[in-house]
Amino acid sequence: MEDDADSRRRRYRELLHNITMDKDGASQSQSKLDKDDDDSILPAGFVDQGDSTATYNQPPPERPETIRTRLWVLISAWMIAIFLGLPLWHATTTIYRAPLPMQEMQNWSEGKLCKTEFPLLVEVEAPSLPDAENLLKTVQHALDDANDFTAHKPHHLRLRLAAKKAKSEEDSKSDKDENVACLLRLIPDSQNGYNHAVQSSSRIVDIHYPPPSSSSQSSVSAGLSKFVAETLEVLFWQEQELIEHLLLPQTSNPGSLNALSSQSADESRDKKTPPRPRAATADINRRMSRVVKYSSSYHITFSLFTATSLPASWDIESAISQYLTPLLSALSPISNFTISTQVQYYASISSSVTPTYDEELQSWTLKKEDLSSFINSAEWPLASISNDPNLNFILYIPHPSISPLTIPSASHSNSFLLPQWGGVTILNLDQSASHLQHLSNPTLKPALETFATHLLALLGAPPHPASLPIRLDSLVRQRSAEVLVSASSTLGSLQRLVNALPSISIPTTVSDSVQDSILHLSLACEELRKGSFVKALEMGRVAQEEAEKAFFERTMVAQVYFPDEHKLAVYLPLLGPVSVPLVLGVFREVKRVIAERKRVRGGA
Amino acid sequence: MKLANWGSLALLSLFPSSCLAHSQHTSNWAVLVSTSRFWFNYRHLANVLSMYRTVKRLGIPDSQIILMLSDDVACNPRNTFPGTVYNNADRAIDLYGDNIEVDYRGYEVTVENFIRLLTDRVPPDTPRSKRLLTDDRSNIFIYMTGHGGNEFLKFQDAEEISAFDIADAFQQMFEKKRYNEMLFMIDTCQANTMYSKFYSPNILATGSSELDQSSYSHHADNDVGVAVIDRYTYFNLEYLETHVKNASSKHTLADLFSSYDPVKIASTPGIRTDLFRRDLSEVLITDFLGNVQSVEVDGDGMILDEDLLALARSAGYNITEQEWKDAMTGGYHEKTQEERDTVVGEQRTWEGPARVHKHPEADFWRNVMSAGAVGVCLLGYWVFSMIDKV
Repeated sequence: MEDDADSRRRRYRELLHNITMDKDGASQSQSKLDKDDDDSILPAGFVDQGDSTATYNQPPPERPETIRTRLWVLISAWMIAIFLGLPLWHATTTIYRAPLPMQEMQNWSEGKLCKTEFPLLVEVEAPSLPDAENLLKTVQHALDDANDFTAHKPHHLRLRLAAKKAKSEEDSKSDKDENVACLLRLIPDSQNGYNHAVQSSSRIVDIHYPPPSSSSQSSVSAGLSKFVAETLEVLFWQEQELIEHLLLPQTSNPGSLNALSSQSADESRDKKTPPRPRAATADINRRMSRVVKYSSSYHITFSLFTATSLPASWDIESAISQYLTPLLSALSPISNFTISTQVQYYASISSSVTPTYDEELQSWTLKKEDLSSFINSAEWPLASISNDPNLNFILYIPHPSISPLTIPSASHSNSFLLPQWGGVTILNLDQSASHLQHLSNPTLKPALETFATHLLALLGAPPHPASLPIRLDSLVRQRSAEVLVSASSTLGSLQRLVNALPSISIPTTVSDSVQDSILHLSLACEELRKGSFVKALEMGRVAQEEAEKAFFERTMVAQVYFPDEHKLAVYLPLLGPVSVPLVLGVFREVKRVIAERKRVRGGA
Repeated sequence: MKLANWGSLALLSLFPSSCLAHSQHTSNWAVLVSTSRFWFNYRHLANVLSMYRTVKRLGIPDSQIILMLSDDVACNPRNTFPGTVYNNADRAIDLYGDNIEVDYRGYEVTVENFIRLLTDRVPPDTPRSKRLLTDDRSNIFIYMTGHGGNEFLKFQDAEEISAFDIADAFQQMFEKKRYNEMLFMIDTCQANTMYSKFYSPNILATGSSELDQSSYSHHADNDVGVAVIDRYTYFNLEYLETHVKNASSKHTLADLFSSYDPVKIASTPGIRTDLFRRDLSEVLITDFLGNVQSVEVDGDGMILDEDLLALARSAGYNITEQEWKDAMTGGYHEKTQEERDTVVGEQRTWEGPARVHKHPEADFWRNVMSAGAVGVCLLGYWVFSMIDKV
């Protein structure tokens, strides 16, 4: 028993010794110590059981097959990590980005791909002029020269003259297909000298000229050609200016901070074109600022707001169909319109508007500041639920106590226009009249005429020349230019966006829409060159819609921004436990191989 | 004080040019966001509702205000005054009155919805009132309040929007020409860090407190039991209520900013103007917080055609009344029917706000891949079991 206890104690002491030596990390000195200090610690004749098995000192040499197995395990683990794990991780975390024709999109936005042209066909009818051909040539020259002189920009109107002396029914029909912009009729007139008269309901422009005296044939034709050129310039000058203005931003790249310099660009433009006064640019700016953005359909709301309960009803439906429908149908190639009407009783104007009584005019007057807050948007139900852009036309009937209510600064009618929003007409009713209960069709006519003018202004039809068809034609051209610019700049925006935000995903629908948009843009461009502007507008409309669809793709919302620390925090708990055994395994194997090599070399 | 004097002086001397500034925008929009939830954040909702009241008072119609209320404190059971929200202990104004239009409410107020609103990447069935339908002639006022920190603002106590997210959204808005000018105002802790990442032009930004500064509440209402308004918003409102009486006010943002007193606010408000083009003393407060429509009166620049309608008729656009009615109503109905169909068609693929859009092709490959992964596992299992047997 005692022996047993003794040996146990001894063993423990030995163990203790080994452990302390291990802690010093001197396994070599341990074996030396084992040999040297054997006698001092252990009694003589003691045979250490552990020595023979070498539990603490050296593991048994590994068998080659176990080494090979371990190697295979290591390699296969790495293989799985690399060939299965990495692709899986990649496939599940990458953001799908459909390929987009980036360069093409950029080119469109910079206006490189489409040299916007508006060739206009002008016909001249000169039955009484012997050398009309000659005259046309001179006029064409004059126009071309003028264009060369003023046009630094590629976008310019080209006027083409086509002479048709003999007018038959068939000819005029075929002309319609060719989109004649206007027809000049040269009429000799001995009384008034040179002047031109625009027929307001057709595209015909009459040019009167003094009949040539037989002696100075050539000088008359020179004078006439100059006058014709001038007339054409006057006819299309406003539209030309406007389209140039529209196309301007297309050439200057609206990059991130370049918009800051847009004012200076405007100024430099003014310098470039000295003949046009600054007032003209201001006028264009003002006209542009009131124009509603183009849309293929608009919603028009006609509202009758009365400060009392009278009049109780109005004949708006028949009035619209009687007076307004021809105009709307004339506009139908450009946009469609839906109409709704409403009547609101006891509608008060906002409290900040205070009419003042003018003794001279015998009426209550509104100043211009009053007008700007006239619309009582807090109380008047003017919000539209339609997704189309809304245009409001309000007929306001003031309270008898402040009637008649007038706007002294308005010269023609008691009305004003709110840019991009609509128009307001104030109607003062004769209190004693019997029609107070009901606004009849004829009473509404002047108001509707005002609204029609407002509508054309809001849609952007140029106020000049007097001919409605020419104005509408020019509206078509202007709108198609606008649509082209808008579509191509949207493409450019999308391109910059895609470049700027790498974390955004781009579904295939976007690339489809972009392709479609580009296709229709080039189609529209072709149609423009051919001179069929309505078709160009149609194509441009599709291009714009597709470009918008691509830009406003719902899934393209940038992912919430994560700082890099966040990403690390997400991946570390996963990658840490996985990678430690893998990396350490490799490390151990490399160490083993190096040790083996050393041993082999030492042996050799 | 000096600053204020200087501001009003500048205002006087630059009066004509402010007319020019008027013509730059044609509409005003406001996006008012409170982001925090729970009853004790009563003051954030009061902040937002106060701003709502102000912009509405100055003429921005409800259709152009996007109001995002993250919680409904008015109807909270703990509210001693049910159905009301007050921003002052005197309880003079019920901000929750009867003419209020909340566009995004409760859990609809999320980072995603906010970004979608700004960039207009909304589902096709989103009503008009929930969309920011602005263009390059719109001025936008964005007011945010909630709990924030260095470059982030917490939404709903669950997620956060970072300064980078907002900056990117604004850049997208700029790219698509969705604003003319923007005023960004934020009342939260370390608010000034939120606008530090902006890089799009024509944005004016102001915040309540610097980095490492907290924004504090102004006072509590003992009957309501919680703080009712934050200091920064309180002093903004004080200025707006006392100086900007109506939409025709000529006070400028320079005046407003010079009225800020860091001692009273208990934090240092920040103003960032480097992206903004105009001089602050030319910028009317109502350029952003009000709705002053520029007006064109007949006669100046616009010629009234007396007989335009008769003209259109004689120009060969004459169709009968019946034809027109048929064309219009028929066309309209057809179109709406089509639209409805397309909307339904698109809805089918859309099953929730956070769902990723589904693509048949991508889905197919995803399925193939998952099937492959399962196959590999089965194969491995089979191989190892064979090895075991051997």
